[in-house]
Amino acid sequence: MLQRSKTRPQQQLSLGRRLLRDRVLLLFALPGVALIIAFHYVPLLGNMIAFKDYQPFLGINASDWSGWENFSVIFNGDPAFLRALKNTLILTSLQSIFVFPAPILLALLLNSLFSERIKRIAQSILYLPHFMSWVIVVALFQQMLGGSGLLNNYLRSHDLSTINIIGNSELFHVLLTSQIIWKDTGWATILFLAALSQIDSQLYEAASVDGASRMKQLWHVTLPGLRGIIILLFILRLGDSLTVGFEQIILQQQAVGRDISEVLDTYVYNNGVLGGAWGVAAAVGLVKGIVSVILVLTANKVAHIFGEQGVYQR
Amino acid sequence: MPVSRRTFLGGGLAAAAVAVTGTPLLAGCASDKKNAAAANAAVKLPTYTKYGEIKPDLPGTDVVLDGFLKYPANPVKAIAEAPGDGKPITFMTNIPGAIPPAVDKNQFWQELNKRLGSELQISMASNDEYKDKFATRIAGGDLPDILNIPPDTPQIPGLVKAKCMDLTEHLSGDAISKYPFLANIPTEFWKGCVFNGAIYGVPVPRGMSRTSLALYREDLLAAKGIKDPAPKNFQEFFDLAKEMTAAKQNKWAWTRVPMSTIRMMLAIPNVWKEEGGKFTSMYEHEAQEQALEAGRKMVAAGVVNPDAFNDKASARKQWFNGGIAAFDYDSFVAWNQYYNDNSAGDAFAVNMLDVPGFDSGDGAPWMGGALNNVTAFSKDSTHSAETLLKIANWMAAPFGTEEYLFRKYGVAGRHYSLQGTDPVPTKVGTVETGIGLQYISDSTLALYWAGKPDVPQKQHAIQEKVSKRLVYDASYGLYSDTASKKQAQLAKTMTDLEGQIVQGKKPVSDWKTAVQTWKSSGGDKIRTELEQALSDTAGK
Repeated sequence: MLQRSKTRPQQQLSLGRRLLRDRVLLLFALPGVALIIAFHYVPLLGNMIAFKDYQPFLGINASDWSGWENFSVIFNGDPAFLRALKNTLILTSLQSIFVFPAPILLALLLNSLFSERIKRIAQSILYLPHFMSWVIVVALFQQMLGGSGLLNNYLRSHDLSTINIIGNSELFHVLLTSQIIWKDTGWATILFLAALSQIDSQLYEAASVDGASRMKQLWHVTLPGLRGIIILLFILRLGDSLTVGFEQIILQQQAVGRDISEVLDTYVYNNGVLGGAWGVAAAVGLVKGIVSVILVLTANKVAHIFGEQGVYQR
Repeated sequence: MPVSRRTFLGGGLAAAAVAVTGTPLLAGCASDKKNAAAANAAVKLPTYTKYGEIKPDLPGTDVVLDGFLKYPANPVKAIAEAPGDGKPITFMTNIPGAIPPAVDKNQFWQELNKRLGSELQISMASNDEYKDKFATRIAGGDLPDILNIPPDTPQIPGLVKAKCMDLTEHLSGDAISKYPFLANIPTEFWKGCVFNGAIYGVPVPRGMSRTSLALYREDLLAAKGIKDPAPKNFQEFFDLAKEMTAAKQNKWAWTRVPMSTIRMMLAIPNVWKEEGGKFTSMYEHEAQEQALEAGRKMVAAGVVNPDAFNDKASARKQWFNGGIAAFDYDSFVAWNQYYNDNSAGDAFAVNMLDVPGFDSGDGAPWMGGALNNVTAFSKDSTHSAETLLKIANWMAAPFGTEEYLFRKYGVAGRHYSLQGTDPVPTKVGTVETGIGLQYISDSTLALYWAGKPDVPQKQHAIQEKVSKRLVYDASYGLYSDTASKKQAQLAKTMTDLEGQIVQGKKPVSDWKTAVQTWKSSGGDKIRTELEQALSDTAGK
């Protein structure tokens, strides 16, 4: 009843009246909307170079149209493209399996700490790596685990055999994944911790009165409380699941070779910006973008089918 | 004033073509790929006139560079009038060292602006980032008056045709005599500035100074009792590396796997080899697998820094300067740079190894790439071609002139202290002068190090030793459309594989398969185009 009386008058107002009523709010939104149009939507038009034999020195308009020619690397399965696709998918699955759940586990762990003080200190320390740029993170890993880094120098000076970690193509995907976990897990706990604090403590009390163990409480109270946010974040994550870390990879690509390290984003950069094949690079980038949008929309749809809110409401 | 290609083709080039080939060249053929090579060959290159005012202590040859033990006393002021036109001139370049202080905090730059008679606004990027910056500035259509174009930029012919001034009428033949210091750059270097049948830029010459061999830390080797090392074959070269390795103290002989040195030992071609009109690539040479085995052996023996494959030039230079490595593969320019960056004190001394044959005899050293970059002028520039060429001419004033002294060393007192006649740079001098002027244009390198006459002596000696045996890249100055589009990517694939093979991650036999792929994905096409270009230009 209450909801009805709230929504009804809105629907009865004409568009013009609603605009008039919200004019101040709309005015406030205007700069933001203009910014998004100018820097997000207008540049999207540049994607037309995917259909052109684009030469930067001729400009977009003067370059010749080339139809679907640039997409031939995708449709005909150019080995360099397939290699990039394969590595991207491997990293996407590694990240979905290992990187995504890590902050949930960490948040649960932090939440179970009794001492507020220790919790706060632990959180601060865990947040720190997020604020380091990838250059620094990569350099740190290099200094610690590199062939002439701290670990191997120690091993060598004690006559032990060294471990080849950085620059080892076999461990490259694992290394990338570990770096992301080290850098961003702490930061990503924020949202989950916020959601945890929203769970009504009476639910826990009721559960323990009913004789639920800690594990049972976790299963029947905590996780259901987190479900909404987990699904929301997972859908958003799917949207850039094909973005597996451009800067991080470019910085370490040299040592392991492109067979193992080329992903779609570095493919676009290496072929477009450096190699001059702008059209092909744009085509690959465009397809990647479209696939990402489809993933998000599908996941959202699935969420709706299972009665969840998803990213937006129906 | 920019000259349109069409009007120009009607006049100068056709005349030049007739003069050189005896047959008139069809107008417009320059845009036709097939005839691009012929059109390029038809361009009358600038006449070389050596500037003879300054006599070197160690005279060079066509190949060996002039050496100087002292800076000449009372350097001549060779250019009377300021080259600028009073309006600001913009320039975009890479910077090899640290980014210098901005103009308002940089007295060298301020003094330069005064001397040029035009404010020089320089947009800089570090070596690693320059390619990105270059590509995006071109795509954005935002070009400076003076543009540093690296030779591996994709599709230079199309780029210069669309965006840059045709300088042929100002530079071709004797026209260059208006710019005596540009005329002092040997003709060979101008070949690399010719595209679409016209001269589109000014060379920043390298060649011999870019020739790279094994550099070694004389002081570190001497501390181990090794004087004047001269390995006679790969085995001795390898043993020397083992002797200079002490992994437990975190010392490794080499900063990187000296694959090029090993290839020179095996007489593998310098990029492309031409014989009777047929081209072969270095990749196809039958000794490649032997070279890779040898490189693999060095890595396995642990004589190369284990972080070498990250291939950061800055790290490599730190290892060599810091004494973590005793050997580095690099050029004469890098040799000087090492003295510049020296943090090891007075004992610091560098020398270069000659390259032996793999089993015995002499190796076949590779001549360095002819150009560092081509400097072109934007068509949209509000300055006249004459003004910009005058600036380039000023930047090319050779060793011994007052202009050179200022350009490289700055102002006495602040940027250098005079020891005898030698300008020894101060810390401020090193930092403030590094604004990339050498990439507008430059004279060929003079072998010289202020206050250390032994440096040019050593450099001159090794140059004389290898000069007769130098192997040249046969593709230089020949245009291949496929190479200009795909060369960089193709080469990258091969370097990637090389890295994996020498690290032992992939078998040596993978090389053969990769060469097949290289051939089918562009290598063979490049070969055909080069052969065509050569035959089109034969006898011209």
